[in-house]
Parts: sequence; C-alpha cells; structure tokens
Amino acid sequence: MRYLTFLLAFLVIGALAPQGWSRVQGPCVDCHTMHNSQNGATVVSGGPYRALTKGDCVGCHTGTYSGGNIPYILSESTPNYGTFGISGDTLAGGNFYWVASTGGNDPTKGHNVVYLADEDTNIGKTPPGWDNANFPAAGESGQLVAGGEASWSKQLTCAGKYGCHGKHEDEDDFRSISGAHHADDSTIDGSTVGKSFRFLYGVIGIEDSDWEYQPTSSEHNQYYAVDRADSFIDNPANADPKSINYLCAECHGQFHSGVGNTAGADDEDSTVGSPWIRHPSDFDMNNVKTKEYGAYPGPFAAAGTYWPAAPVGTDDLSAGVRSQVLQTDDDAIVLCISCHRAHGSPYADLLRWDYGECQASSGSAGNCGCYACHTTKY
Amino acid sequence: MRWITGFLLISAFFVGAAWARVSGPCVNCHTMHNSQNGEPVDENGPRIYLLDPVSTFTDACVACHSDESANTIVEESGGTRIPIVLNLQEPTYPSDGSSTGTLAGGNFYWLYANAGVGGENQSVYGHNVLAIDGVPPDENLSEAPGKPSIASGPNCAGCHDRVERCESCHLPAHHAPDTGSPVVGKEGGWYRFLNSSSHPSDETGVIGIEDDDWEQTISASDHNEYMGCNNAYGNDDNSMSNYCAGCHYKFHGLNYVDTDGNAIADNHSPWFRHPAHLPLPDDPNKEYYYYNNPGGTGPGLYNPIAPVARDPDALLSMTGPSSIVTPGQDQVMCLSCHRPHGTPYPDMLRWNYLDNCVAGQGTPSDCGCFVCHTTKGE
Repeated sequence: MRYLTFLLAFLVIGALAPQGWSRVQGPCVDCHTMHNSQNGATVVSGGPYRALTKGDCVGCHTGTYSGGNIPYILSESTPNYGTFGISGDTLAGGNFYWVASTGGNDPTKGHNVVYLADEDTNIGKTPPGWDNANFPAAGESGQLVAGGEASWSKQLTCAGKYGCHGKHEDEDDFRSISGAHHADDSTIDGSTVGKSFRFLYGVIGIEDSDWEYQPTSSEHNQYYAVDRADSFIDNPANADPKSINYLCAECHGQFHSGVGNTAGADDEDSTVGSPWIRHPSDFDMNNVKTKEYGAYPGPFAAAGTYWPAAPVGTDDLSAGVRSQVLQTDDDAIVLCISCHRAHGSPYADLLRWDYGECQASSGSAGNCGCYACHTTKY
Repeated sequence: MRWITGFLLISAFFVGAAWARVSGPCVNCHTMHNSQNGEPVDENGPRIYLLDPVSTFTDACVACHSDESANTIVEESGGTRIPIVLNLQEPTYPSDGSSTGTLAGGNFYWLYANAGVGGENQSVYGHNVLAIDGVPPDENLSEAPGKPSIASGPNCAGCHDRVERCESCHLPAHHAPDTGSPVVGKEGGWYRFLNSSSHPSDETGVIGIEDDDWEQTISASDHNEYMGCNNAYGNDDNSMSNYCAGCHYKFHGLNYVDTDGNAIADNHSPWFRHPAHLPLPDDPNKEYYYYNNPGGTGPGLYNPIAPVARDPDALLSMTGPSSIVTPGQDQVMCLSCHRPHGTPYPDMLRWNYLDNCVAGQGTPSDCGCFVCHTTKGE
C-alpha cells in the first residue's frame, strides 16, 4: 500500500510539473560516460568529451526527434520539415542538416557553426548586420559577442564568445554553458544560463516541453518581446535584453535598430515607423490592427489564432502560452524568428518558408508564410 | 457552342482592362534587410517600404520607375511588370505599340535630358519633380501656374509651389485590390494612385479605367478611360481634370480670375481660358461635333492623341474602353492636350503646337488641336 501511495504521489507530482521544464531528465547513462571505456572499447569515438558527456554539443544533439528527452537539432538524414516546419520532426529552432557539411552543405540554409559546417563562402565569419558597438550580451556588463571585433576572427560556435548559447566571456562552449543542463529552470528569469530561455543567457520566455515538436496554436514556445512603438525611440541602448529579438541583435544589430540605420519614417518626430526601411522586429501588430495585420494569421487559420509557423511574441508572460493573439496590446509582437529559424531550414536565409515562392496578387497564399501578417498581399 | 460563347464573353469582359495591382514574386521588389551574402543589395539602401529598386536614383519611386534603356515597361521574372516614366534613352513618341512606346502619362526623359543645360526653356517638357536627381526647380515658375489661393499655407508648398516628390501627385497603393469592376476607385487605390498624399479624401481621389499596359499599345478601343466632371467649377468630384485643378485651379472649367484675383464672370465662349471638363457640344452646327472626323457627317472614333473624359454616370457602368465618342456627354479635359510626366514638346503638350498647328493646314495627325477644332486645319 505504501508503495502504491508513493507511486501515486510520484505521478501526481509529475502531472503537476509546469510545462517548460527543460532541465535534463532521464537516465544519466544516456548522456554520460565516466571513463569513455566499456568492455575495453571506447564508448564514443573522438572522446572523451567535456563534462563526461558522450559527445560535444553536436554529438549529443544529433538525431531525429520523435519524442524523448533530448532535442535534436542536427539530423543525419533529410529531416521531415513538413509544411512550414510544424508538422514534421523539425523542432522550434530548426535543423542544421541543410547547412551541415555532412548534409545539405548549403551555407545559406543555416548558421555555419564550426562543428558541423564550413565557413560561409558568401559571408565569411562576420554576421551580416553586425554592430560591434551596440547590443552587449545580455547580463554580462558590456561584454560584446566576439569581444566586439569589427571583423570576427573565428567562426560561429554553439556557445560562448562566438556563439549564441550561454555566456559570451569564454570561448569554450562547455564552460559557457556549464551548469545549465541540470539547473532548476522552474522559473525562467534570465538570471543564469540555466534559467534563461533555451540557455540563451538573459532571454526569457516560456519553453514548450517538447521543443515545439509538431506545435499547435495552444502548444508552443511563448516568446518574450517588446513593443518599441510605445516610445518610438530607435536607440539600441534602450533595447530590452530579455527579448528574443535582442539575442539576434547581439550579432545582427543593424537589422534590429540603430540611430540613423532605420530612420525612414515620414514622421519628423520619430526615427522609426512606416515607411520602414528594414523589416520591423519588436513592434506590436496591435498598433496596426485596423490594417491587414489585424487578420493574422491570414489564410492559415482563423483570425487571431496563434500560428506557430509564424510566431509572435508578447511582453506579458503571466498569461502563459497564448492560443489567441491580437486580443490585447503587446500580444502580437513581430520577431526575427517570425520569419527565420535560427539553426537552419530547407530555405535560403534560414527562412521558415521559400520566399521565392511568395507571389503577390496570385490569389493563392501557397507556401508563403509572409501572408500570415501581410494578409492582403496574395 | 455554349462553352465557346461563354469563353468569348468572359474574354471580352477582360479585354483592355486588367489589374494594375502589383503581381509576381515579392522578392522582385523587396529586400527585408538590404543584405545578401554580407553585402548590401542596394548600395543606396535601405529604402523605404523595404524596396529594392531597379536603378540607382535616390528616390525610391524614381528608382523603380526608371530605366537606362528606352523600354517603357520592365518585366521581371514571375510576371512583375513595372511602368517606366523616366527613360534614360529616348522612348518612342507617340507610342507605336512597341516596347519603347511612351506610356499614357508621358515620360520625364525630355525634361531630364534638358535639365541643367541652361537657358530659359529647360523645364518646359515636364513637371519638375525635384525627387529626380539632377532635375532643378523650374527656372520660370515659383508656384504652380493657376495655383488656387487656398493653397498658400506653410504646408502647401511641397505640392502647390513645386513638385517635391512623386507623392506630390500620387498616393502609392501598389497592393490595393483593384479586382472586380474594371472601374478603379478608392478600393483599388484610386485611378493610377491619384489622390493627395497630404490631404486625401474620397472626393479628391480620381476614378477611371486603367489600360492594362499603360497605353503602350494604343488604339481607339485600347486605352484608359478618364472620368469627367459633374461640375465645372473645380469642386472635387473624382474627375481627372478637377484633380489637375488642385494645383492649376485657375486654368480650370468656368473659373475666371483676373490678374488682381477678382472673379469676373463665368468663363464662357468667347473663352478666357481653354475649357476643361465641359462636354463637346452636341450641336452639328459646331465643329466639335465632328470630333476626329473633319469634314465628316458625325463624330469619329476615339483618338488617343486627344482623349476625352467620360460622363461620370456613363463611366461608372463601363466594362472597358470604348471607341465611341458622344458629343453632349464626353468632355474635353486637361489630359486632352497635356501629358503630366512629360513630352517632347513645351508645356507638356501631346503634340507640336508650335510647328505643326497651322491654321488652314494639317490634319489631326499633324496637330491634335484639329481633333476637336475640326474646321481649323486644312
């Protein structure tokens, strides 16, 4: 009887676990080997690896996801991207397969992380839109990604000084991410790497429990973002480092904001606004609800339904994961990842869909996610 | 047989009137971040509305609607067609239906070719749109000739004292849905986007039928259709000529104002100024009855060299261009004699008034005046 009680308690506790615990779960042996030796043979070739793992970042996160405790971001065979990447086995951040030298080997289809892809032959090492004077790494007291080098001297890594995840002081991926996997992430507040959204230090949000494996309108990440139209100030110094867009801006700052870089408004009193000179991010579509954007997601679902293929953000996470947007101010904020997948996609420029297939006035939205927001353009 | 009849009827419905709404791949005209392969897509960018223009002019409108060749319609892959209003090589005038045929509104080529060359007549060949690099202010004019007195406020100068930019006359609406009825009005972004950018209203916007290739190919049955007026005193009524009157008010209709600014009398025959937006008299005893048919027994076919505007009620029910001209209904208008962008002739006239309009000599093909003034030629 006591065992049954204990089991029931365990099940209740499990059921009460809040959505979004990314804290590693499951058997330790799945990820660790103490000596990289078993029966006289190595457990994992190329090892031993740091933190006694069975591989580096790429090694551990390589596979085809169909459920389970490890998110796979690099597949060994062509991933099932499905339509818009929300019906197959591609997770929220995308898949490096299409950029990986062992896969598609196309530098336009993913971030060229050094461990899995060659240097981008078109761009080199320095990210497009790189602003080495602004967007210091969140929470790191002025620490700029890549040490603020005008031209990057090293290729992109998973984490660290030249990476996206973890802190940016140290070049070493493992040290930059140390302690995150097993951190108590019941509260995502950006205070540590482990308590940051997807280990993106300083960024907050609500993490989907299975990394958006086949997400729906009610089961998805909830991204945090801000609406800069409230103040209409386009100064990078005022950007909110907790926003997922800020993470992108740490490398692609000129695509986010910058006095003089986005000044295109015809309003003499502002430096941002329509007519835009770059696609906006960290702006709320509720501000233009009376225009075509009020019909989001256009032809893809009922108006106001959150569509995970073209996600939007909110500055209020207390409401939880939103299945309906354009209900209240700042619940439909345009993101960089409204259009891109950070790891990679089947499409050029890491887009979520094939932009070349976007045909204005064709009468059909087809496979063009732009029309989720630009609802009158097809 | 019924299928053939139906097909022919449907085809006839669409002949000569087609959607001007921009179509084709979005990527033909737009770049999200003005960045590709680490380089700017447009060296002069980023541009407003995320535009990626075809030429290097500073102003985005001019940059898209200009071309280094004499071709007056640029065709991009996927079906995008761009009307050209500024060619850097001389287009064919008047249009002969070829790819270099001057479009309905004219071409800034002759103004641009003479701009800055000095002399008192360098600006007589078109509107001096200052947004065109190299086009100076009109050396003869300090304000729009015939400017209405009401347009003298501090915010009026950009349109009424000079033409600062394309938006001085046009209110861009490239994605407006101009489907359905061939008559284009508010819902379709107004005829040729003609409405005030500064003070648009439902009355100032122009209504009309847009020829599907901007009159590059032209005939009596293949042309624009312009809306005439329901009042001849310059009150906004969606007509083409009352739109011109927004700047050239004193040249319009029955208004006559003396040099001291006093309204003397209605402008009737004998006219003080050439009439506009008044019907051709339905009187066989007058030469105008024989429009385009000097010496004939009735009016001739519509002559695109000297077009007429249609009675408003008639236009709204038209299904396409008509070759019929009806005295008593069809009206002389500003565009009967002028092309607003420019022509090879001074005062933006459609024909060579100085050399070819010789009383007692010539035909309508020599001098467009004789299309209406049928007894004044040979």
